Amino acid sequence: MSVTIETIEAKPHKQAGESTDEQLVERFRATRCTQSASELVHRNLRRVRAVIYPMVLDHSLADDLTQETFLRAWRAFGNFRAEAKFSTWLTRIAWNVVQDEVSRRERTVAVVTEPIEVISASIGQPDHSLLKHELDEQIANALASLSAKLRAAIVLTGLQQLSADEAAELEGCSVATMYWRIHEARRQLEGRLSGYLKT
Amino acid sequence: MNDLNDLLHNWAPRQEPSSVELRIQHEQILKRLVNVAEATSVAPIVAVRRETSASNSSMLNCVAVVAVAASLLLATSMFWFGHPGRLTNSRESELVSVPAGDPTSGQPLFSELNRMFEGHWRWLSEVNGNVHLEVDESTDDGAAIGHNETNAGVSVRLTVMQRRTNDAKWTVVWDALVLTRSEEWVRLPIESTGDNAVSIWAYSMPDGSTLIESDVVLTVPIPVRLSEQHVFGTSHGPARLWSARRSEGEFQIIQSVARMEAHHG
Repeated sequence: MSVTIETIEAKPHKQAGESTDEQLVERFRATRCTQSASELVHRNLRRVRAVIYPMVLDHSLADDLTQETFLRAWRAFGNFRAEAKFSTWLTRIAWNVVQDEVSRRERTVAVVTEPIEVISASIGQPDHSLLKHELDEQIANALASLSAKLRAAIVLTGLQQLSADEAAELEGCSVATMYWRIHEARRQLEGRLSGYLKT
Repeated sequence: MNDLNDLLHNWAPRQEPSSVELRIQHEQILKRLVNVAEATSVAPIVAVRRETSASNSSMLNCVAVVAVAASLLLATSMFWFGHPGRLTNSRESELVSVPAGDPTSGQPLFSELNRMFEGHWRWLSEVNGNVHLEVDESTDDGAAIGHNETNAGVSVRLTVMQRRTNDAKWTVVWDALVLTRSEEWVRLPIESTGDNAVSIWAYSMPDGSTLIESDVVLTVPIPVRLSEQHVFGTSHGPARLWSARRSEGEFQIIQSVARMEAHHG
């Protein structure tokens, strides 16, 4: 039997008019159908992990905590209110999961505080991928050197794009405190990554 | 040189797992969710299960229809897989001939599912004799295939073939058959696949060709990860996705595709 195979670059868009996350939650509550749960996981998996990884800086642990987040959400579906935004609700659960883990680790793991030696800052030159890998490590090390509270401040506002108000609510501190944490976190990161930053 | 925001925003996406890794994690999460549901005696989470004793009439109706669909699938499977002697010996470079039968033989079942569900079904799978039907629970009649003249479907068969060392014949060691509406994302249920994770997305193109995107993570009968996109022409037919030689023999993964028409006969 003859075969015709071509490789293509992109797939067509899926049909519009898909259910919202909140509708999927309602459908799941009513029918317990795996399709709704699966779709919720599919839509939110990448985002949940993006919240968790910068806080723990360990891919394997981030995977475990991502799974734990969905399990907690699953068990707490009864508490979800339809007027709330599912993604916000799930982010809050992810944040609680990661805070539990960070608190546990802070009691047992010493923070690395050695100064970072800048190997090269000429990003975009021939050894591009190697330099990028080095840069990634340096950024991860710089984030790891921050205290958990400062790291949370920069992750929430710098990476997750939350406002200082939203971050303060999530962290349970005043807005003024959050502003100070953001400022201090940026100051420390800029000090440790100065070789890669504009002067 | 950058500012701090640029550094962080460029760094974060590079820490994301690949799409294949995400799929694997997706399957692992679903597996754990199923385990939690079963351990806590929550209502079954599978959309349609043959052993379900649901109390509402629509679920009972679904279960009844699944039994009919399963019977039809078995009948179809007999036609697809029931022709002995179709396996051929093959040199390593050749495409193994699978016992494909008539590639359009899934059409009667596809049409029957459309008729029974009035288009409100998504896909049907059979993995090593384990049948699963995913229904469309939406109430939007316009979205149903039976109400859409242009929405065709696809039959996809994924077969793992093995030829043992010093053996002349290839044999089927793992097999999955999917009938799906176009543009459905099929994730074979873990109840059927065990530790294997298989996702298929099919799209029937206006010119009669069919795009198939496959993510395959097998642990048995052989560990392999694939993420493939193929366009099958109007003639369809089997394509070899992967081949390898191991100590226990040679392996090939073959994909066969046939387009299903929304309205047939």
